[in-house]
Amino acid sequence: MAQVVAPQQKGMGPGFWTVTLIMTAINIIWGFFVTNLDFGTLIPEASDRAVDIDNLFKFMAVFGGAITVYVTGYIVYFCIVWRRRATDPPDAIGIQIHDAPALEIWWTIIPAILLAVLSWLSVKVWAQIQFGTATATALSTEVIAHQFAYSFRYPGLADPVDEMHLPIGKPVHLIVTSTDVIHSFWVPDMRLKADTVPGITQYLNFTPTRLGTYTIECTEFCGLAHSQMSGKLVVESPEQFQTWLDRQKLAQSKAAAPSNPGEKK
Amino acid sequence: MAVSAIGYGQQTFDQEHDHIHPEPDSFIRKYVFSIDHKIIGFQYMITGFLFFVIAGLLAEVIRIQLLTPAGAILKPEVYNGVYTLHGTAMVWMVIIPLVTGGFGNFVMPLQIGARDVAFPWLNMVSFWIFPVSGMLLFASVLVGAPDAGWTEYAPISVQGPPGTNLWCAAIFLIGISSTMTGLNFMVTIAKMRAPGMTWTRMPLFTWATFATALINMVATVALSAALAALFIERVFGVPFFDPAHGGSPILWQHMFWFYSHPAVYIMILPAFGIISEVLPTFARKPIFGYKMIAFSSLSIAILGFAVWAHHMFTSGLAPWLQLPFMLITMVIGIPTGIKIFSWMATLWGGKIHFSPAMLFAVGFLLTFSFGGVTGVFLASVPADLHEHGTYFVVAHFHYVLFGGSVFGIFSGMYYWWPKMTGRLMNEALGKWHFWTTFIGFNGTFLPMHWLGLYGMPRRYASYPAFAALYPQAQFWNDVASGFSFLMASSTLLFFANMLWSFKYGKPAGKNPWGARTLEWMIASPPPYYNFKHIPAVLDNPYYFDKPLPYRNLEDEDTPLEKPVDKPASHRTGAHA
Amino acid sequence: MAVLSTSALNANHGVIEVRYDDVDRAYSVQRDLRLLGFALFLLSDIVLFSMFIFAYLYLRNSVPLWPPVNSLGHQLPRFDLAFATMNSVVLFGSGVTMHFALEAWKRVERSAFFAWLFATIVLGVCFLLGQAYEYHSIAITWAGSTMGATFFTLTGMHGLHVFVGVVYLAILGIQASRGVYTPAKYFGLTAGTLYWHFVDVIWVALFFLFYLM
Repeated sequence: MAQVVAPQQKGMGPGFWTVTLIMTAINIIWGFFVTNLDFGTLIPEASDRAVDIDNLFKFMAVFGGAITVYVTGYIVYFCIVWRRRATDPPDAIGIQIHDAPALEIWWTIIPAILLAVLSWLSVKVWAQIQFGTATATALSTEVIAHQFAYSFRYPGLADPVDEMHLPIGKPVHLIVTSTDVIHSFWVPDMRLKADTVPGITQYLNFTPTRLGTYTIECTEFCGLAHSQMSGKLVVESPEQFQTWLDRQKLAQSKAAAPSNPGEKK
Repeated sequence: MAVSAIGYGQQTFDQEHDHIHPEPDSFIRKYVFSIDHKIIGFQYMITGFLFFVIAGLLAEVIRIQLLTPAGAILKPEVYNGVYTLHGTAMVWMVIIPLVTGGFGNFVMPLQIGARDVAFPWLNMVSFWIFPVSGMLLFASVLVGAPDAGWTEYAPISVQGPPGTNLWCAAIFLIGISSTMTGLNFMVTIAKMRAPGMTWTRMPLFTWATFATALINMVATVALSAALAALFIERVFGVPFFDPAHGGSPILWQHMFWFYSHPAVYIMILPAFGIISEVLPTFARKPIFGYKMIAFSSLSIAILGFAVWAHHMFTSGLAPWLQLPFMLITMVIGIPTGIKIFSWMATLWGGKIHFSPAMLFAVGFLLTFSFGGVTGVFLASVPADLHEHGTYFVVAHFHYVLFGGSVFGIFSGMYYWWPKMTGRLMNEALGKWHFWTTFIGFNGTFLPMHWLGLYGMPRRYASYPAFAALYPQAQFWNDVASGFSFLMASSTLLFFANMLWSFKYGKPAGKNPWGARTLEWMIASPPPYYNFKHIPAVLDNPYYFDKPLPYRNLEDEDTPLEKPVDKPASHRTGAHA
Repeated sequence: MAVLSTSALNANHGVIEVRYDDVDRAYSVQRDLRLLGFALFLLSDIVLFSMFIFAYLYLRNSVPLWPPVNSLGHQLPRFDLAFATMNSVVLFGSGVTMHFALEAWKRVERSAFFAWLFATIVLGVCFLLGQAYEYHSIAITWAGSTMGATFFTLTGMHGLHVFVGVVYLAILGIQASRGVYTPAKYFGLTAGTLYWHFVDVIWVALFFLFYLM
């Protein structure tokens, strides 16, 4: 191959700083947009943890978005500016640079710092979900998954019920388990999920913060009717919740009463 | 003194066991049960692309099904089999064989100046396991296809249809083949590089192949163990995973992901290697940060063994285990970022020629870096609690597996096709292929991000509850399906290009791209013995302003002379 | 091997001419490849055992009591330590005899080599018979409990390795008697010895995990 002389270059090339400026502007706008975006209007934030997780998400969306914009922008821009022109000789070569230690240190350190901050934020939210508000006053409710529905066991109720009711504003300690295969308990509006593993119990701690009726989905393949497996979660006022609980108690005692004589036979 | 004597020594070896086997005469020995690494590479590619077509069509069936919330065409039992086979085949029958068996076999020995891999016969066995296990996998349709997804979580997989046994057997076999290939490549790269090719002069694709071989060798056996356990549990009722008999379903997840997370790097590292070859060649620049790219491959390979449980953040992993796994997962983002930035810097100041190979490489950079960013979203445990098991995950891994590995495969095909066949491909057709794939790909998988965040779980044959939750559910699913048809048909352009090249392709010559690694220094397609004389390597290959750093290549155009007669019958006893 | 020292590179750009009729050099290169390949094979085999050992420890830790209770609520019996110790001595003894066999080959003492090799094979077969007896007399079954599952799978896999090893050593013996190996070139014997020691080492782990722990 014929020997060719590499071109020399001073500075970063035509338009580099303009492009950088434009992308920085885009990122600032994106940052403002994301931080001020109300995720709650897109998909309701129905628990205190949902707000925490959304904030974490916003943090990642801002910085992840910035990295995406810079990487994508520079790649496209380099491709345009440094393309081979029709006027270039066929054996033209690029600028023969193969290292820039200062630059490499920066692009190692900056992502490392971002990831460290993200880890720290994640750990804080994670600790609350894991150990969180498990106070003595928390309502302890058991979620039992089975093919292909959820049941819920409440303190004071003898039998599990098919619908989940929670009082607004009161800390909840969910005990999640399964009787057959692995399912995954998920309420998108609560941003919380736990696999229901037979033989294992998992815990979720949160406080419902928004009235309404929510869908519980199953996100782990559990058999033929996996895609039809869903449940209903109603968040209501403490009074309504109490009424509901009492009604369930009454219904269960009524249902139990006629069966008792039957058993005696 | 350490010497690479392979190149000169092999003619003296005992014929049955020597490195350079004489060229066979019969068709069967030449093209079917060949022990030549180039033919084996071809065989891997043909078989891999065949399965690519089948698994791709299965993907289209999935997209058709999801056109309506109620499920357009299939009953759940069929649909579940379809996505299970799609995922399984794409991972084990398409991407892994193509990037390791296909490119690794064809390119790596040429790049290190060897005449074959260390154990050619083992290489042949590795390949022939592959079509057999592929057929076993698809034969499972006849007895009831496996339905629990490519991860086959216990205990549902223990109760699954009979085809699950065939699934286990097929993946077990392909795992054995992967392990042998990994072993073969590690020995080849460690011991058979041309004289003067130090570790820091090795082409980056070879570096990536080495890191991949390391994972293949160590991790794949773990998968074999998991599959063996699942198989004997299903067939003999031996309790490992079924909690009803004292087993632990989480144990399966540990054993499975201990392989299957490193497997992600088996699929992506060779693509990294391909990109690292294509970018400098078409930008006419040295690769930026050669050492950083090489060592980050190795550090990704090693760190990759310590992050498997990040797939299990919602599965009841002990809390004290979740944190280290999250932190190491974050750490692995750093070498990956270094690679992306180095490739980006390689483009700066280049004289970039946009051949189809380069377009796919640039497309890879865009899509893979996006997939990398969404990967960080999943690494954060609390955020993962929302995203796990949804279409957000599906979107993420298609961005890194299709946008990463498959774009890398296409880039590599366009790049090495002239070397493999001696003919050029049609550039215009290749560019069409790129743009239709790129647009189709992004249109298919971008909407899945918000579909997942709004609440669409994976592996749903229908989504009535989700459609009630999110009014645009069907619209975005239809968008994804529409673009997926574009993406699928774009692949036809690629196959058409291959056929076009056989018929009308111009002869490529030795080095159509002006590339600088060793495989481009010999004829296209390479002669049976690859190198008449084993070249000597004087420097890193990527300095475009310097003369080519090879010696002993000057006389490549003169016919091969036999080195010397074999010494009188002398058994080396090198076998056992 | 191609990693060259810097001084060699500076002197001659790393190019070292090797005479292609140099059979000994060719053999040593080939031996290098096979040794590394064989070591890597053993490494991957270690991973296979490690995964099942991991499964064993995981299942063991997931229940409060070990040995676990069966479906009737009775605790399963522990393994017979005395018999296993005896059987282990047999296997470790075979490792010693194999070592002597290889040493004898290196010293060109053919008859001693064959005697030691034969002793190794006999001890290997004895170990297998011992294991068969243990399987026969044991109170637990493969499918009955996680203890049975892990025990029979791991020791079964190991037993299979011993069986393959016995056959392998027998083949090596036949090859040696036919003059395949010379006092200078005997890689097959080295590999066989390595494999046999590997099987021993695995047994140390299994013995500790099942009988002592």
